[in-house]
Amino acid sequence: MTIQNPRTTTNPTHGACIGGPLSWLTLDQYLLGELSDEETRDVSLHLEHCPLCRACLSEARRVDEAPLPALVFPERRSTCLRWFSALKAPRTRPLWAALASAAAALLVAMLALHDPGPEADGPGRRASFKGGEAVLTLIRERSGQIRQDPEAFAPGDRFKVLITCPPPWEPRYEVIVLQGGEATYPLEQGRRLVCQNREPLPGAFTLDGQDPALVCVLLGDTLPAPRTLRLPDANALPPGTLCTRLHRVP
Amino acid sequence: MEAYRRYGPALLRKCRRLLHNGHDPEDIVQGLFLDLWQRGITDPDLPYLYRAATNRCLNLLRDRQTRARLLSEHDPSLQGPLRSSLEQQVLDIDLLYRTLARLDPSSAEVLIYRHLDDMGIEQIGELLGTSRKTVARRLKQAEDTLRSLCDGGSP
Repeated sequence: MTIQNPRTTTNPTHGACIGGPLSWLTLDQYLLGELSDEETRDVSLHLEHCPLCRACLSEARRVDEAPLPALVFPERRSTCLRWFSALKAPRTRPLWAALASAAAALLVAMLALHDPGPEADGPGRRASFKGGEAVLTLIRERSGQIRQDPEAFAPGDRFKVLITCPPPWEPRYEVIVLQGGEATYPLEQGRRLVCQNREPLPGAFTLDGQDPALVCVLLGDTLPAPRTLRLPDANALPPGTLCTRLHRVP
Repeated sequence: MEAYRRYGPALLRKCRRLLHNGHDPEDIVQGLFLDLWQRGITDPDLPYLYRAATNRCLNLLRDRQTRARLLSEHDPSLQGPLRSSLEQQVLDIDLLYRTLARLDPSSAEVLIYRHLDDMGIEQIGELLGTSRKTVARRLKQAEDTLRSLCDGGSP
């Protein structure tokens, strides 16, 4: 381990810091113009005589010039709200027509949710665990448009997984995509999640192929050995797995 | 989100001081602002964000496999001008991670503010809303743990 005190040892590039170094919080507030007039004067005076802190400020300015990664916002309206809106009948219609319309909409929604494939009886986006319930939320980004809990995927779509689970649980997780009878693991395996509301899992992924896809998340204090699950279909997933279904856009 | 555009760069640099490069700092900062947005908080200040980002980084570092992965990705040449100090010593990142793993959250937080963010005890106290005495006590605990690991023993 290197032994060096930048306060009393001359830094070969920038010399030694004069007195105590300015904290990074103070430097950041100085850069943003959020210090009082007196604080700004003090910082400016320090920078005038301290090449090391000046170098840190220059480095911060240089790094801040890089583009900021885009912030992905999920849509506020849920699929559920849209479904209930579709069931509303206009007041001027007779009651029997409204009821018939609602029944037809209900039938259409049930058919839309029904998947004749092997995943039809598989797990859903919610599951009960110790201390509460866990929920899987999938976010899709398509050409800059964001959608929460999408029902379809197309080439080029990017997906992000959010997990809601009861704190202070810190389970391990594994993201599995079942498609065409095969399982793939699009995110880094063996990591641990700190439970809270809508915690994003690190990384994003895309989906390929023509078959519908089932995106699943395993949660647990221990998980099966890395990527040895034999998964012919969703019914082979361990209890408590969270899944959401996506069909391929033609 | 205006707050993200304004404070995102500073928070990214802060998270990179501890987690270095890769996607972890970006994930942490984005997760933080998403959470704020969902809670309807649109005008956070930088000290509040500093605390929130620090605690999220510490949560990430609690996992041993994550620490090992971050160490394997660590490139000292990307560190930039180094000012952090512990008296006569510069913190080795492996030592820092091992120390943080042994500390309670409060002491770990203080250690990061003192030796990665270069804050004085008074500024740390203002940030945490606690007394200088409490900060000093937590810092001593953290530094004692650090020194004991330097000497190769357990605290």
